[in-house]
Amino acid sequence: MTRAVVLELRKMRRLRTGPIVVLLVLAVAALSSASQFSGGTRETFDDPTAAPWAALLLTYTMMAAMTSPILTAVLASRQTDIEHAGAGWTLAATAGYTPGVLCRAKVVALSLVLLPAVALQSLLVIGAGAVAGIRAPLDAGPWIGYTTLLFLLDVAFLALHVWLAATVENQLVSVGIGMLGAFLAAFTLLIPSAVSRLIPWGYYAVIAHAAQDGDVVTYQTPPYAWIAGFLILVGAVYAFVTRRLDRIER
Amino acid sequence: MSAVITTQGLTRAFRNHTAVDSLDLRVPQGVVYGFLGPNGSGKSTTMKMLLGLTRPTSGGITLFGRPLTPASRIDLLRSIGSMIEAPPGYGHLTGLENMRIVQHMLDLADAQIDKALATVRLTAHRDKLVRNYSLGMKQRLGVAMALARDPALLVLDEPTNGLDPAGIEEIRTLLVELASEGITVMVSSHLLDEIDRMADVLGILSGGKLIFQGTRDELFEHSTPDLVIETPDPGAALALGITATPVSEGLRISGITKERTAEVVRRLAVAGVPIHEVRRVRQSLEDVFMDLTGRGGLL
Repeated sequence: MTRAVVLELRKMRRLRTGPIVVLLVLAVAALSSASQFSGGTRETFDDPTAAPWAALLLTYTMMAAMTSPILTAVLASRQTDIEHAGAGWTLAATAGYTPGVLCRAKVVALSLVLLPAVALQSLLVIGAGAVAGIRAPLDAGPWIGYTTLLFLLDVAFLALHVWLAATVENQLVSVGIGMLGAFLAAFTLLIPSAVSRLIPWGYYAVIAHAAQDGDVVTYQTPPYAWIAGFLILVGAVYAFVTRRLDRIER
Repeated sequence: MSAVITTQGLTRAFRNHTAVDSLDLRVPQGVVYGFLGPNGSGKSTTMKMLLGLTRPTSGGITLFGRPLTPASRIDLLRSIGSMIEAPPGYGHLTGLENMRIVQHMLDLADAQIDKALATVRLTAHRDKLVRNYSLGMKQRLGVAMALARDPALLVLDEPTNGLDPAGIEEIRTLLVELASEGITVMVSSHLLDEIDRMADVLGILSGGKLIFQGTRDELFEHSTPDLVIETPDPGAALALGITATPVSEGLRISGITKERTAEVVRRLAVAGVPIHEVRRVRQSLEDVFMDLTGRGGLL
């Protein structure tokens, strides 16, 4: 498996995976923190009871929900489409690497790229908040918790999109579903969490560590059991479907 | 001569048709084996089964004297270079980077990569992106990827597909050279002319069935060329009830045996029909091939 992951990292060369990730990270950080520089928001920066960091985390959650499904779809699609275009499935199969192994390796390799990207994205948002002038102490717990769950959720959707891209040769399908997912993810931030839990992309809202009640933004504890259940389910389904991919004759 | 590939009743059936039907292949060691057949005759399916990429419905495959099974497949594939359907190659990488992928997959030495690139004369273009390669260069890169592991057997599916005559000649020369170095080459094509000048042994597939397997000379022995009877009076000959086609020189009779030829000549002579010459038409390999495959879409 390690060898297959290294192979995928080699294939990433010139796929512009890095620039795409950096662009999206910067865009999310910029969109999340833009409101921090408005006059009304700045008035709350010195008031811990106004929870300026929680408000920033909520904005970040919304921006990440709108962009992460698209980012994962695009990355997975680019990394998988090369196998269709370059007869890579057959080349790998004659060297003992089945399509299932390749797909699992792609998810691991892309996760290795996403891990520092998501961490950097959160740090940039925090950094922007500090630069904008938030003086209230940072509540590290919710930020770390959210960043960790955002990364794990991205990995889950990478898995979905790698499988889709491997199964359906037309990459518009995978990217199109990613765009639809982005809409659903943003939409589920506005509906009750109980409903969001039933929609895969709704988990971008379920992992939120901040919520708004009227004019007040507060930290909240997400339903960890549901999130863990969803991630385990995705892992199990992915293991099953990638084994089935091994039996597909191209 | 020992066989590198043998199959026993190899069959692959799909829901509504049988792509490969009871194939008994025998590919001797160190030869170029030309695997011929019209499009859709089952060549690619057969080759995929030989590489373990497609499961046979029934029958068995023996490679290098060992049965091909899920357990033995990986070990056997170490000695088999292949190119099936389209030539492999990641367009966004250079030729050398593609070869490094193969090197990493198979744990090969740098020298093996350099040698494979040199063999297909791609060393000078190794730093060019594959998406900018010509079709011929892509085919040669595919062959280089197959060669990198120093295979004892090369399985190439239509390696000259889409190439211009110069490219076809280049691949043909390369395969003959490889066979002279002791590598067994199994190469498929639907173009008879390509195979004719390089194959030592031919296997001809039609409708999923192996309709001929043997040398070129053996193939000719299988076919009965048309008989031409030169006569200035073909009408008189036809009036005798002889089944023949009038042609400019006289008459042409298909599928006639030596014994029947003697009988026809005797009847013409007795009837006083002037005979200037009786001869067999000189057949090209293509004619033989067409006869065998029933003109099933061959070029």
